Amino acid sequence: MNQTYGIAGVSAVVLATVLVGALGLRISRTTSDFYVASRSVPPRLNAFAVSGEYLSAASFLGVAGLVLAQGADMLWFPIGYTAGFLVLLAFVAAPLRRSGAYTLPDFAEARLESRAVRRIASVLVVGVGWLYLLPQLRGAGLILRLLTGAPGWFGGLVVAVVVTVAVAAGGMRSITFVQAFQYWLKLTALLVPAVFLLIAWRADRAPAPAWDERPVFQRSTRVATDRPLTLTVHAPVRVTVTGTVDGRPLDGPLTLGAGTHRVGPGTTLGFPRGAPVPLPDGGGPGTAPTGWAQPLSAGREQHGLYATYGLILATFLGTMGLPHVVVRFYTNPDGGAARRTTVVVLGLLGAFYLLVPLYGVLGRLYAPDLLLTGDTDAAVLVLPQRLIGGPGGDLLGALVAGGACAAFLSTVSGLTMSVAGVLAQDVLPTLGIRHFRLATLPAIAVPTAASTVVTDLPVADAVGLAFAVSASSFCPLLLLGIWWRGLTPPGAVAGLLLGGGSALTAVTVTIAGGATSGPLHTLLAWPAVWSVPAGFAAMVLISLATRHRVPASAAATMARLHLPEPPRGPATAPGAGPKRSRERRP
Amino acid sequence: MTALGTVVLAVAALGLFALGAALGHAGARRQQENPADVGTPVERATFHTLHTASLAAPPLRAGLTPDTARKAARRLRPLLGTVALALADEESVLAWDGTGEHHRAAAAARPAHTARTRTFPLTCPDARCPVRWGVVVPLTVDGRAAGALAAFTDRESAVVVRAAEEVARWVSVQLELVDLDRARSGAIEAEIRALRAQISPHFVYNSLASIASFVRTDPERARELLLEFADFTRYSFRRGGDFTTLAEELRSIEQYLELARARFGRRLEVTLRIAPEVLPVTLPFLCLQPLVENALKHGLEESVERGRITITAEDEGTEARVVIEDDGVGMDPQRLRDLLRGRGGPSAGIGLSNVDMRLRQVYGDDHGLVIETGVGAGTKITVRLPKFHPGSAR
Amino acid sequence: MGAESVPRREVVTGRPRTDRAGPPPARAVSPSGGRPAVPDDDTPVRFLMRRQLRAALTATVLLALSLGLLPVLLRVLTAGGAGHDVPLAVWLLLGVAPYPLLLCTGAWYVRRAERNEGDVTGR
Repeated sequence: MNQTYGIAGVSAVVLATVLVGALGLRISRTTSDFYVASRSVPPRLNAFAVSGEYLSAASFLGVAGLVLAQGADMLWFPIGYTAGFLVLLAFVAAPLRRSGAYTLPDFAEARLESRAVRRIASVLVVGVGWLYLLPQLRGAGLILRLLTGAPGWFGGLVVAVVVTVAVAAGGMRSITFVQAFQYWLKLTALLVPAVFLLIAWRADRAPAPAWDERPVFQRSTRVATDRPLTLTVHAPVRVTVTGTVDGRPLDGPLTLGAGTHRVGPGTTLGFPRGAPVPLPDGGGPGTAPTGWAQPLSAGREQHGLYATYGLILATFLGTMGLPHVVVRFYTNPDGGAARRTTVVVLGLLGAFYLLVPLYGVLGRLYAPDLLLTGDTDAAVLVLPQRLIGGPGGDLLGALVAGGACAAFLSTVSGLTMSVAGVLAQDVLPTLGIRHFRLATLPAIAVPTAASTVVTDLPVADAVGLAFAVSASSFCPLLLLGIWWRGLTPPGAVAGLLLGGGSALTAVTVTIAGGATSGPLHTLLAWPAVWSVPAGFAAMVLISLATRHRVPASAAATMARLHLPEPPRGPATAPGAGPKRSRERRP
Repeated sequence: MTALGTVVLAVAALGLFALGAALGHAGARRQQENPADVGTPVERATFHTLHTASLAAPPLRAGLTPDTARKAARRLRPLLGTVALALADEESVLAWDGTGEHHRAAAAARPAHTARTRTFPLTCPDARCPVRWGVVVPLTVDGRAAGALAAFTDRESAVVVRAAEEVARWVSVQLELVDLDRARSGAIEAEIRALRAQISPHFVYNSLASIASFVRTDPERARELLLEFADFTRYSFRRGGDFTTLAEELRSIEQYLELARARFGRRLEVTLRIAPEVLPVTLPFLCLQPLVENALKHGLEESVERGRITITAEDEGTEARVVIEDDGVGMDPQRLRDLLRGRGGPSAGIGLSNVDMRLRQVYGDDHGLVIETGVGAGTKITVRLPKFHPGSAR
Repeated sequence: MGAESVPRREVVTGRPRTDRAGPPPARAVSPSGGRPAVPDDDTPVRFLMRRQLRAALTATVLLALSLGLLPVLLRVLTAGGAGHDVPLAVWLLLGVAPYPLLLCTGAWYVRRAERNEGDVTGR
């Protein structure tokens, strides 16, 4: 893809984000329009912001890459990402807002009046946040590598530095306007190219993708690799080579016979139209290059159904525990607004995810070489160039790159803010007055270090794993805390430690590569199926065993969580006088 | 499952539990005395006793309830060294710490409101039960019986009686402090009420005077201002609920400024920069309004030229930062310092010190007012409000 | 101070309250201090909670029946059917159909929840 256009796209997004952030804060108001200033964020605007913050690089790039690599089964990812908000809406949204909690530890303290539960919840929030940040930084690395050719770890580092500086300088915060702008930017960056891609696809006589067998190159394609690859070729294919194959330096045509071939770094292979795509040797997660696809491929055939349900449980129940999502609900003026916000979010996410599979399918058709190099996550980025080409393709490519950039900037900054807040308040309270800005550093440095140190990590599944940890710890805490009076502090501690702890352990083992295949790997890679029930069971049983520890304020808290707020403000109180000539707040 | 996997799993699990335990006890450990200064055995025993007593104090300072009694009893029993210890209020036994809880009824059966210490033997069908003898000491608050402390041992002991009496006296003192705490917050509540009442005379006079000036020239404006005035007073005089949201407080400030503009006209210039994210933050009722009143007073009333007031509310992660700045005549820092420390005259700036005190009372010392001022340099007042506070959740 | 010669600002704060004893003040003000008392009768709350929970569970059951059973259904159909070829219907079923369904369920739940609240508060 054209580097100049891409860099221009990314720079434009960063600039626009800073501008919107600055303007949103600068719009100074005089008393005459104070009503605008003191009016709360309307549900629709807040929903844009929630969606903008939530749609991450994993959604923007990863889902299409997964669909490209593995087909329709991967559509469960976007379904889960959206359905999580329905569960959040039904059980959590309004009561959470009414609790007055800003973070999950706040909720734990407000509901259970226990500092111990608060501390454990804080540690888990930081853990979930870090797990979620990891793939975002990797996605950033991928984009910058494609744009500039810089090594993958470098991109993550650049994003980390940009976000740290921005947050610490008080600039690009998780300001509602910025995040709302980011949503529309991301939607546009997917929608506009999608229209042109579909037109180009029709002009190409609308070929249907083949999922059943090895994909073939629709056009003659040149594949460049910057690292050594081992390919398995099933039928002899004639290619043009510049570089090394099987240890021999070559520059010209070559017939690759059936069998495995080693391709040296820096080699370019030219495949003719209609040739089947040779696939790299599937190794364990430790040897795979990149891709959200990895954890699923190992043992997916045998355990497909289990993995699907693991994914469904984790995403359906885990969304409510994501720190950067919870924080946004505080912005709503009351519980009813929180509910309406969530419904709008359902619509906005649905609109976005309708587009994503298109890119996966078209990628299967026109960018199958990504399977060869393993960069399936780049499908969204390379498609405009491949299918349209020319300056038009470059421009659309720049738009997509900008959208991807917006995706990880918004999520990374939102997550960094949330993690920094919890770190400053609960984990490092000794930092003093200016602690919040200082806490930004560890909040982002740890995942950055993790993503740069272990570059071969199958971080792909980290998003799914973050959801799993959240689903097994915060989901029981929120659901039982909101709907069951009998929850006690010891019960909550036990559930958080057993559910969250076991999921976190499974995650650690998966990331460390403890089990690479077989049923145990599947069990650990998709922990939600067993860790969510474990978390619930521990919370309920220990609470029943410690019934005398039910907080004295439980009844009052329940009333506050579930009863709608009384109408507020003098202007709406009865007897406020005749109708004003000026517009009053609703 | 590889061996590596097993090891990683075990290490991760251990690490997690260690972390939880460490966090759980971090608070308690911080309070412990420095182990390097050991002192003589007697000194160490004294330290230990004092430390145990200090641990039992916080629960008791929240009043006598089953939960606080349980926590306190757990700390107090080692102090007495008895096999069991019970705490009761005037009606029932609230907590039993130690063995032999089946004797709970025995502690309850002894009337708590006897004004003196009683000892009594106990019989138990269980031969191994160590509870054979008990002592009940009344707890008195301001001369009235508030409950009882009961200690149980395996045999009669004059030392235990003496020790139980001393501990009961200490507990009684703690419970008296509860009443003092209540009186203190009652006094602060009264001060809040006083502040509300204090706004009115000066402000009401000025407002009504300026409204009157419009009645003939611009009746529509006068009517609007009167309605603003009505809304403002309703908010200021409302009863119940010591907390409000930033949105509501700002709305009342708007009404206040609208009325002020009627008086100062174009001389007053107000700029607002409010981040909508912080509007739902809860804060003590009428906490910002006095600050704006102060800015108006020093920014405009004392100077003839035009004045500018800027009100900013920003998102600072887990806190909201509200800044109220004026470019008026400013204040003498030393006089202001005296004022905030309660050494100023009763006339000026009682609003500022009251707000400062209330913020510190609710949120702690870190959240008092920070005022930057100098003579002729204007004034900038910064308030930092936590977004979540367990006491202020609506 | 020299404040009269140069109009410079000085930072002024109140006295730190180190002289006060007892637990940190942030926690000293008990929730009950600034809060309305516990409602004497929490029957309305229990009633509302039951109805809200019923609405939430209905939405969840709908979700579980429609989407939760899909993987099994697809597994059974594709196992007995056309082998690896994924028909277009499956793509539509997974790629398009869930989103309107989720939105409609959400909208229904909000209407239901707000009606429940209106019934209890009489508004």
